[in-house]
Amino acid sequence: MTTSAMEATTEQPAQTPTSPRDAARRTWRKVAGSAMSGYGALIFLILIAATFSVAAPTTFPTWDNAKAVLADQSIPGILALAAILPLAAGEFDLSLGGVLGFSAIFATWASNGGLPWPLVALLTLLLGACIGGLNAFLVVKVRVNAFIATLGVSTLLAGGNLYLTNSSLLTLDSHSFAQLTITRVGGMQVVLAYFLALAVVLWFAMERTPFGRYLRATGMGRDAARLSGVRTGRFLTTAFVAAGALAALAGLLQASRSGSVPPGIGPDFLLPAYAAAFLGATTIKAGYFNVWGTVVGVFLLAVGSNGLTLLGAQTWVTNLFNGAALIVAVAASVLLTRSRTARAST
Amino acid sequence: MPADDPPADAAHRPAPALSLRHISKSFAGQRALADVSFDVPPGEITALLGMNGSGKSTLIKILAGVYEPDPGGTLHIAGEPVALPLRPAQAHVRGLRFLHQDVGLVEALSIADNFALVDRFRTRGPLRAIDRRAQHEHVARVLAFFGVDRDPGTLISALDPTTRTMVGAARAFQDQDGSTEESFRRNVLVLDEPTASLPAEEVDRVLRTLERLRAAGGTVIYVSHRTNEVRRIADHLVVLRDGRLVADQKLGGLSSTGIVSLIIGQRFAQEANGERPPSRGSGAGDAVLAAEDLVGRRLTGVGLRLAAGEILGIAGLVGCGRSELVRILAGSEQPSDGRMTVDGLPYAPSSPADAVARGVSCVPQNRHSDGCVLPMTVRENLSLGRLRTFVTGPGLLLGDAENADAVRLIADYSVRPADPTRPIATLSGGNQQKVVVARAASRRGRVLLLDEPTQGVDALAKQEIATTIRSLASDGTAVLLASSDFQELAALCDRVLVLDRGAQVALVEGDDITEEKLTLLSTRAQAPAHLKEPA
Ligand SMILES: Nc1ncnc2c1ncn2[C@@H]1O[C@H](COP(=O)(O)OP(=O)(O)OP(=O)(O)O)[C@@H](O)[C@H]1O
Ligand SMILES: [Mg+2]
Repeated sequence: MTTSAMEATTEQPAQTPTSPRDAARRTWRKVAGSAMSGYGALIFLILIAATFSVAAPTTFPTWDNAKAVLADQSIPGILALAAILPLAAGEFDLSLGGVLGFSAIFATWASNGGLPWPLVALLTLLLGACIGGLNAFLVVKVRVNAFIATLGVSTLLAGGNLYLTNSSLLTLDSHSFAQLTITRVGGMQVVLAYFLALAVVLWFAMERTPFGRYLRATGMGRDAARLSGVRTGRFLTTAFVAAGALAALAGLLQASRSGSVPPGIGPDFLLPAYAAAFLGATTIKAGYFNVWGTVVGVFLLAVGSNGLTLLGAQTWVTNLFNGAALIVAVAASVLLTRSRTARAST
Repeated sequence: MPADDPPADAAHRPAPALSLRHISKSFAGQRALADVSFDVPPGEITALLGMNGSGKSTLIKILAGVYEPDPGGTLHIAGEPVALPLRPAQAHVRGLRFLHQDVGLVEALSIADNFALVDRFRTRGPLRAIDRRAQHEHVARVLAFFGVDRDPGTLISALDPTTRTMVGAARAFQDQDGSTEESFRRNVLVLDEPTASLPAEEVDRVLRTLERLRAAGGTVIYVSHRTNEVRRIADHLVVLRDGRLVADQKLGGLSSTGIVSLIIGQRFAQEANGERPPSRGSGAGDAVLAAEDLVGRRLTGVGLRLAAGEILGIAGLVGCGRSELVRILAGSEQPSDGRMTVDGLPYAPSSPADAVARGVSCVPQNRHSDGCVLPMTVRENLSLGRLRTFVTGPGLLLGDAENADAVRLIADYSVRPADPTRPIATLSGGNQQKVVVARAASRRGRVLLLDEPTQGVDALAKQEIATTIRSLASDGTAVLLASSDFQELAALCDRVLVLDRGAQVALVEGDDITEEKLTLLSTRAQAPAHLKEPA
């Protein structure tokens, strides 16, 4: 590496179309920059929806299928919303899948133990907030790397799950608890309403309040934010606690909706949530983790696998799609952030 | 203006080290350089001058291959044409060496490893294991030339800012074959504000090194806002204004005000220098901020009293504990011992937020990492930490009030370009600094702590910041000003506390505060201990 190449890595990528490859890359970046920074993922979502409508005209573009997708994605969607809080503050929370699983099992277990459902709900949310608090304590106070701390907590929770369930499927007895998700509003399952209501609340908090601004400042320039008087530790803590509570809500709804929970529930939810969050950061408000982008991300992934399934594709095809979507999302997000922060230092 | 065909008289004189023609650069919606043409004479030191945002760094980044110029320009290096845009590796091969302002050293690695990052690791054996001895020998040789008396194995994080600057320059200039002296003749070293945050006596070290480089036949391009440095070492001046070339001439006998007038394009009314403003008292009033026996990593029992309306300066050499004192007062670092009060009540901030809550705000020393949130906009940076002021209703951000405030501050501090929605990362360094100062000053708290507030800002903006500091003080703010610019301290302060290796060695008051006296007092440290006066 040369002096200036070194500079380039710390400052801004060189833009030098001296070879066709460079030129192509530059053009691509421009195109990607303008399209993706606007509504790329949204456009992509519409495109694949249109494609599947043509490919599977009898099964895909039906009201029933749409309703099923929307309802099925509400709980993963809530988890994705949970994920963007710590992400906006610059930290990963890998325990969110674990929290979802643990609270689903805890809720079922507590409900089967005879507790009325409002109490179960309250306890579950509290439990999630406490786990978030534990994460925050480890990251903010003890200063363990968030990746490791939350991975550790996640593993603890998996152990707790096996203990509570005796490693076997747990079935929900209480009908009233199940009522939490069986209700319908306007012909749709109520979980979708929960999801959208949460999205609105979170959007407001992140975009319209000092909380959201400071959360972002904490993620983008923690030292500068702290030194200018922002209590960055407090905002990080809030992010982890709120994310924990939201993940617990997702777990609670999952338990209520599915009526039974396997002992290994949880980790499978993590990757899609992050995929959606990173996809979201490429759209609507490009370069930032944002609520409506995340909602688009959730449905983009869902429509992809739903369409592929309806076309009779095997599971591996769906995996392929989700994996590719995640990689593309993260790459696009990184490129966008880099061009946005093209530094003009000094 | 140079002719359009640079290498014409190559037969008589050596070709220009660099020859730029019609270089332009536009960023989205803004022209940073407009048709700039000039020659850089070989074996000389060329000062590249201009106000904040005039395009100096942009020009340097074009030479470094970081930015791509608009089509139409040409560049000759040592008489030979090179294709634009340059690739970074190409610039390196052609002998261009850069020291950008954020020096770009990896803190967690040793000096030797940092050298190897930009060049290569010396290896041996079939497995190409790193040959530590050879590597260290090479690095030690280059360091010696640059006057850095450190072991190549020293970690960067253990170095003071000046040594880092020197290491950065040495690294940029290391030759691939190790015969450093030889390579100087064909290389061009480009330094972007290497002295912006260095104190006078350290600046001297950098300048002496540049002079040695020139003596060895090297060519230097050098950016600085300090005219006395320019007058001391530059042979040639190139001045940019709003992206245009406005002067390309020998330094001759140009005075400091002459240089500034060239830069700003009008006669510069130098503030009555040495003529101090009337003193606003000598801390005799009730202390707003007081500290006693502060002990920290460097500090060994420092105390001070700061009254309302007073400007107290902190002077001292690198490593004297100046910045640590500011950090402790600002709550970003905790003292291991000592007492502090604000308005007579105990004051022990555990975070900068606590300090702000007590009315103490701060402009930190390191703009890049501590001053601004680079990806955020100018407006968001201006309102950082004081959003509550703009909130109406339950937690609602009032966009208009925030924006109006940003527009006002941008005008007051002449931030260029005057656009609150730009990412602050796209502002020039000096303009970023103005934003950081504006934010802290706009809090109108009881106490304002400033650590090198005018680093990297041009002569006009420096005066504007000085005016702001004065008017804040006359409105009753207690100001603490830590600066390595003793001239600035002399012009602004009512009293100056001189620190030496963590201890206070003198408190200078009123008319005694002169640049010479402060320099003398702070360099007394270097004299044998028995010559030192007790505090
Ligand atoms: N990446 C960028 N995107 C947009 N505008 C930029 C970018 N980099 C620089 N500029 C603009 O170009 C102009 C010249 O900036 P430059 O950094 O070259 O100034 P400078 O002369 O180095 O100033 P200073 O003395 O403050 O360092 C400024 O108006 C700046 O805002
Ligand atoms: Mg600059």
